[in-house]
Amino acid sequence: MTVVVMATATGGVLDASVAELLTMAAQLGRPVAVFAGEANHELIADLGRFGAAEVHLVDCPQLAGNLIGAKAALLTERVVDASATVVLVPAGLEGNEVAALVAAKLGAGLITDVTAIRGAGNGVQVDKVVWAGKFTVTAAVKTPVAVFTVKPGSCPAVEAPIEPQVYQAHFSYLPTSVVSEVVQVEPVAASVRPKLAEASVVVSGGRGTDGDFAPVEALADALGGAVGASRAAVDAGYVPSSFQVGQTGKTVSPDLYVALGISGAIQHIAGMRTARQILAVNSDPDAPIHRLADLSVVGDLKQIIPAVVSRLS
Amino acid sequence: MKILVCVKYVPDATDEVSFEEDQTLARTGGSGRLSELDEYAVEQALQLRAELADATVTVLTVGSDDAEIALRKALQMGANDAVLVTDPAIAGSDVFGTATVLASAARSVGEVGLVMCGMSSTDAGIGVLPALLADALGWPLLSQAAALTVDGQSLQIDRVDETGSRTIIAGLPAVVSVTDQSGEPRYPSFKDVLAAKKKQVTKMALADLGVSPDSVGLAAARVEVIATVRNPDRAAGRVIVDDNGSSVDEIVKFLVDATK
Amino acid sequence: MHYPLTSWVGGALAGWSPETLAGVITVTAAVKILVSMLWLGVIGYSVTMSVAWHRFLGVLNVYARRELDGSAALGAAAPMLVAGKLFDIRDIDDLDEDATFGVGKIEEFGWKSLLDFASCTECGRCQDLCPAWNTGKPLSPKLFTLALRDHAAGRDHSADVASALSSSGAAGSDSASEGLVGLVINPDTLWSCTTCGACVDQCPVDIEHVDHILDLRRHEVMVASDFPEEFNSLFANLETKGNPWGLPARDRMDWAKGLDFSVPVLGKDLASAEEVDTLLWVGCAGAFDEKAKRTTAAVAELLHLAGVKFAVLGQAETCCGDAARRAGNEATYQGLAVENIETFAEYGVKQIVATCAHCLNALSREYSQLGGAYRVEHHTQVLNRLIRAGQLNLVEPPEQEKVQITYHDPCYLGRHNQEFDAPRELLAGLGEADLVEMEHHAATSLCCGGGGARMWTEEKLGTRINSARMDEAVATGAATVATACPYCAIMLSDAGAARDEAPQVTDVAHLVLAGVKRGLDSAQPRKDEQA
Repeated sequence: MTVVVMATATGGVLDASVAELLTMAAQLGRPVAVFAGEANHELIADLGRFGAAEVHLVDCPQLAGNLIGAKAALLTERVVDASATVVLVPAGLEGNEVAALVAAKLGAGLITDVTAIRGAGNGVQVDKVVWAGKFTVTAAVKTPVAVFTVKPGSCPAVEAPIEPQVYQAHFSYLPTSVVSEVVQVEPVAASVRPKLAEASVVVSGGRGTDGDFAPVEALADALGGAVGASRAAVDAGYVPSSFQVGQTGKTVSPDLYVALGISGAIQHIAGMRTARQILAVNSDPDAPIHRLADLSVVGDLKQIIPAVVSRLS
Repeated sequence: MKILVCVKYVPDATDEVSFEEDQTLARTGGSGRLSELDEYAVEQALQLRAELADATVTVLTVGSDDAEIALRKALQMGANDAVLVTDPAIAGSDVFGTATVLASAARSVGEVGLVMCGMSSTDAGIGVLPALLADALGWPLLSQAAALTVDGQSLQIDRVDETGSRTIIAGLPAVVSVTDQSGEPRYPSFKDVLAAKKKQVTKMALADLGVSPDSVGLAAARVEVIATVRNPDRAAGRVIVDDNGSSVDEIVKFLVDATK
Repeated sequence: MHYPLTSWVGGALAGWSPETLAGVITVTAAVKILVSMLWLGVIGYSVTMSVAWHRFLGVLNVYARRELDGSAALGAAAPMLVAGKLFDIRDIDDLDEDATFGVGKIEEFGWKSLLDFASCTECGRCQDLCPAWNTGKPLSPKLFTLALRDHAAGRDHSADVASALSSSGAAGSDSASEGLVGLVINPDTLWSCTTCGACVDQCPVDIEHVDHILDLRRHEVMVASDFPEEFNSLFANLETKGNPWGLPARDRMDWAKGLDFSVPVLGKDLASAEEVDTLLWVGCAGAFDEKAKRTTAAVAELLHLAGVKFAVLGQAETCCGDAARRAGNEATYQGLAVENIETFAEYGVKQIVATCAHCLNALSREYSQLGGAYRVEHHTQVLNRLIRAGQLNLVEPPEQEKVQITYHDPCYLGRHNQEFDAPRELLAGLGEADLVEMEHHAATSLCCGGGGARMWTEEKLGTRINSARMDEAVATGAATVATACPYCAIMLSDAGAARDEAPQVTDVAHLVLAGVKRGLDSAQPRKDEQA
């Protein structure tokens, strides 16, 4: 079967999650990567490194307007062109919307935020975690074509180098209905740190940091991880909302999650419950997070963390 | 002009849930509520009502009779009236079926110039319904708005997602979804609660919408659930009390082991 | 000689003629009458000169107290009247569309309230004891009363009242506001009140300040929807989950895990409260707060050791509603209270023991306003009774283990319900010779800062009330602060945690349990003595 993978990049560099999607695609069939926009050689090489048999570079003038409709339409065209039966898109606020519109156009089944994909009989089965991590659901689509959005960190990316066939395509988006207009775009700033949703180590700060995220950032850097935050820290203005881990923020599934000064309200837990290992530091011995962490320390993070960081360096 | 807010009646986040034989969610009566994220949409709708000429707010949901509880909460917050689409044929619908029903309802209600939604439901959490609605209605999409302003007959939103942040504008009619950063939902005063008792809830069935039962429901759903497995609760690990830095050794060892 | 001190006056006038004297008398009398008329005119014109008016109104005000039996307006909050009738959540369908709740404009105050405002002697005793005022909040019960007095009379404030209001930050700031709160009373003033009742208790002319605070709060919450934003989640949690923390009801029995006896639950293990001696009311703190859960377990163990048959309601308990009522949300309070009253009726509950002073107050003093009448005791009263009856035997610790103890009177047990002695008697003997008292104790006890729904709001102005109270505790030199309410325990522990060194905060129940266990241990033969 042909599997179309939507490739995304930040600052010209391929997103780590796409490598995972290509690995999954390779396990199912023939991976075809679709990238909208201008691609440099490294990007194409990276796509090949993780097994993309074909790379379709689509030039779409309407993408400057960064419209979801445009992305969905061009991806749909590529899927039909490739006669693909499975479409993989990195999960996210935009990813899910693009995937939904593609599925709507193709009359395909849609399953978002998938954590595992397996070939089964003639088709494909996927796993997804629901209800704040309480249940794992196995599902499949009943339609000929399947569209899945895949959570970053679901499967380790495996290199399977191949020289991909590269195609250039041109797509002109003709909306069939009135569209909105994007007037200002600020792309995600390229950061030295890994993206929160993709990182294998996340260090988050909460109310207990009292506004000073320096220990949180220092520890994240010492471990090569991303920085996250609880809703309380975002509401208090310590960090922007893009740092928020939780039900209405990002759901992360890193190997290591460090919660500093976070009490452990259920909405936050829902966003990090599936981390493999959890360390919590909180001065309140009665904080719920202590019941969840693999190692829980009752103490003052402002004293403990700098000492830990200097030992790690 | 009607501002139509689509809301969902969901079980409470801390309630125990279970699944029926056919893998649909066992919806127990009476213990649900208006999805918290929809309250933000109702709030923004009420604020827009004040700024748009001749606007009223109608709140809409699809569900069983219990779902009226969610509508009541929205009416207490200040919505003018409500519509409940209820029909046994809708049970088990996937997001495409739901979007079909909601889009038809939006057309049936009439004079709708703006459809508003929360960023996702607190139970399923997929977050794609607004995009599908915009597609079905042929209207521009302004989704995941963290901030929303109106200028005459056009709306402007600030949106933050994995690609970055952007400012998007569109004229009415449009489909808008708002995040929990958009502004705290108001607490209904008791006077509002009393006033809400008199507000109208209209019930509609599929026949009233002109939607064929074949296009919705479990049978029409494009996805089938094969199994649901309860994940084990995380057990508490080791808890140590720090005394002037005594925990540092153990923390370092833990971190080094975890990142090997 | 008669009148040795003043007879010289007569001596000086002795030579005057009767006509001259008659004239002097006439002039003196005329001056006196004119001065009196001028004085009456002055006070008649200065209706807000309550320094003068209280002489007449004070007596009336004392007789016009809210409680017919002459007791203070403490304990139960005044019931809310809507259009002259008692508000009952069960009859809201009968309510008029235009009904108003609480007081939004000066005209909406009842005559007793206006009499209160006019009777203030400006003595300031209320202010001296107000925990908010003494920690830098703009709430002085005196200034609050005077501001309303002046507004009721339609007069401007006098210079000193105006300057006191503005220098403390209590001046009404929002001239655009149509309501009292904003225009006359600063919102910070209104929401800083912990309803501790010290003002009501101290007032020499029996002004009932807390009633007026609640009147205003009721309007702000139920009509204007204008209140501290932390109350949004408080109200939402109370309405959807039946407890202020929003935690699931099924966790309400977690405190009983780890007890070596089983606690019967009404509705599950037994059908009626008549099968047991009493209902142990756990309360929300006692079910969800870690410290308070340990207190519930201690009280349960003590009842068990004393042979008292008791049961609990488990998940069927919902919040007593005190926090909602004190925040001004009479509707949410009544919704919760009615639910509890129906549960009590279902199981025939008549006798209750509560471990939280706020629950005690609600169940014993306030539920009767909605038709629920029960015999409610605080756990310190019950334990006191059991020890006197010999059902529990309290053994003092050995001398070298005794530490100095001080006792913090919870406002809702002490001042509001007049129980100062039962806890103290329990503590006598458990610590060093005499219990050492803090500067403000018993009737003048300083609030911990948690009442008036303040437990659920951030304290952003001035210094913290709980720190001020902890300072008093530290000044006694005591190693342990005993208290009898979970909110006091939480507030004082937080204050202690913010200090480098602080006394341990513990509920009286834990000290009693240790004393009782000491007695039991000494009664058991030691293991190594057994052959």
